[in-house]
Amino acid sequence: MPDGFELDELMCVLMAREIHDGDWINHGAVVPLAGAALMLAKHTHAPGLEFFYLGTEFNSVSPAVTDLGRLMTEPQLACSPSRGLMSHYDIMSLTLRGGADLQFLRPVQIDAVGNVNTSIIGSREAPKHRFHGIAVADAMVLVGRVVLYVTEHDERVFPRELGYRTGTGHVEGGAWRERIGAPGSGPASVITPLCVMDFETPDRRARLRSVHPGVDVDQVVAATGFELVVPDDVPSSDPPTALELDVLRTVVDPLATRHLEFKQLRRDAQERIAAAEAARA
Amino acid sequence: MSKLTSLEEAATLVGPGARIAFGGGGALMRRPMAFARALLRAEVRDLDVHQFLGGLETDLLIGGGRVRSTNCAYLGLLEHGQAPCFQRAAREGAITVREYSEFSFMAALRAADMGLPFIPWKTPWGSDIAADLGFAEIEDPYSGARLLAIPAMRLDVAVLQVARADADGYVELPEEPDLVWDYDHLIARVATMTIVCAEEIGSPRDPARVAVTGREVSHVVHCPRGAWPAGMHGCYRPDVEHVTGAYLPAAQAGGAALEEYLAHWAHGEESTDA
Repeated sequence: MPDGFELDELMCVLMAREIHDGDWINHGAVVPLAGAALMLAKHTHAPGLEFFYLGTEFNSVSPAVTDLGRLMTEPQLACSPSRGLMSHYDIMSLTLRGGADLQFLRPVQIDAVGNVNTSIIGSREAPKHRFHGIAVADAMVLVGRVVLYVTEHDERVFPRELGYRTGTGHVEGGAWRERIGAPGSGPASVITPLCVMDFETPDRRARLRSVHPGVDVDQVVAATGFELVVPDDVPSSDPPTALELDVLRTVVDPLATRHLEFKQLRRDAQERIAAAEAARA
Repeated sequence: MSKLTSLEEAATLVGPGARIAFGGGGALMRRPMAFARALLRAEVRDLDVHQFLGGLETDLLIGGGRVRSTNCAYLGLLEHGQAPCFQRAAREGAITVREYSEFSFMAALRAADMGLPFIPWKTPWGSDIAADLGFAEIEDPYSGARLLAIPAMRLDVAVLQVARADADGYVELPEEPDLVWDYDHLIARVATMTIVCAEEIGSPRDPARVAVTGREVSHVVHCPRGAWPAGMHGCYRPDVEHVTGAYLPAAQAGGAALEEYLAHWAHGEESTDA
């Protein structure tokens, strides 16, 4: 990656920019790349964002500590200081009423209209790998804007046909969502290690919005199993600003916990976090 | 009326083929582990486990061959990774896996909580999950909009591990309201038989903190350190070293290593529950 930033930093910044000031976000604590994106947004262009922090031990609203490494190694910080504690039941009810504006989701597979698989790899009868079920199927219907992201980009991640449809994207365009009175408007964008996609086409099929610096369009098309809509002119993804990089590196995620979401960086990140925990104890 | 009984006696009340739900918070909080080990000793088979956030107790029971089906919105160990016995049994087809979404699981419990046969709901619309669970579509009689009808969840048994309860089954809220603590109340209300395992038997210290009344509880077991190797807020922290150093390696290896773990920690003299 050119220009003094890493791929995980670029992806994190691009995810952060999907957040609008004033958004209410559902955030699960076990996805630190998404966590870093929302903390980064709060410290830069979206100071008014609030988030439900679905922790590993507590559910709270907007913990005051925004350093992900500290939240991870001192879980009680997720609870206090925060703006309040909320029961899971109440967070669910709020989401059902359409009270969640945005959620980041990292599926195993994504198809051309933004349907996602987070359930199984392999056949349904004898899956090679079964992921524990998560709230994806619900979020895709209920949450205002769903921002999808993946940390690998190949034909298995973006297949022509999903192995299992856990969550629903833009089937039948917008009509399906109107018919069931869904509060959410479905997947808004997909951030990948190669590009950003959105669904800004008449039939809500995935369209190439931008390619990352150093990546060319053909490379993205070749790595994508389904047929991607490619406009005549595809811009380059806007690189991180100096401010964004500084906040990410020194305020929001100095321990680089976001590396846990990248296969080739995971082991080092685990060791780093364990060492930080040991130092604290 | 005192509902006190022993752990071993309570485990024998669970019949074969029971639809059972366990309480529990984070991956390693408030898990009714002593009760799960007692179920292993009681030779109860063909359990249909229903868990919003299934974890260590369910994985142990699957490892011991006691589970017929899992009906969960999540089954894993969160920050400690996958549930190894569940993954293996699912892969080998040894158990039936019925996967819920989080909201549809809660919907099924809410319907049962309110004495309704089903509840109209908006998720998991368009998901294969809805088809797999056989959720029917209905029409809103007022607006004509389409909705899913999620059937009430029937539970034969609910098991909670709590910090403090009295002999009549009045349960005090945890000092810190942790992840999904409210789900414990729901399964206690919904199940035909609710067994409360308490670290400590005693009257609630503050009526405002009574979360479950005696009306919902059938049996109370005095069960100190009953969540071990999970933890209990205000009592003890999770024994992560045991989970990652002893349980996980045995569960991942399966076969003789798992047999040895179960013999030692659930059946043997090392069992801390007797």
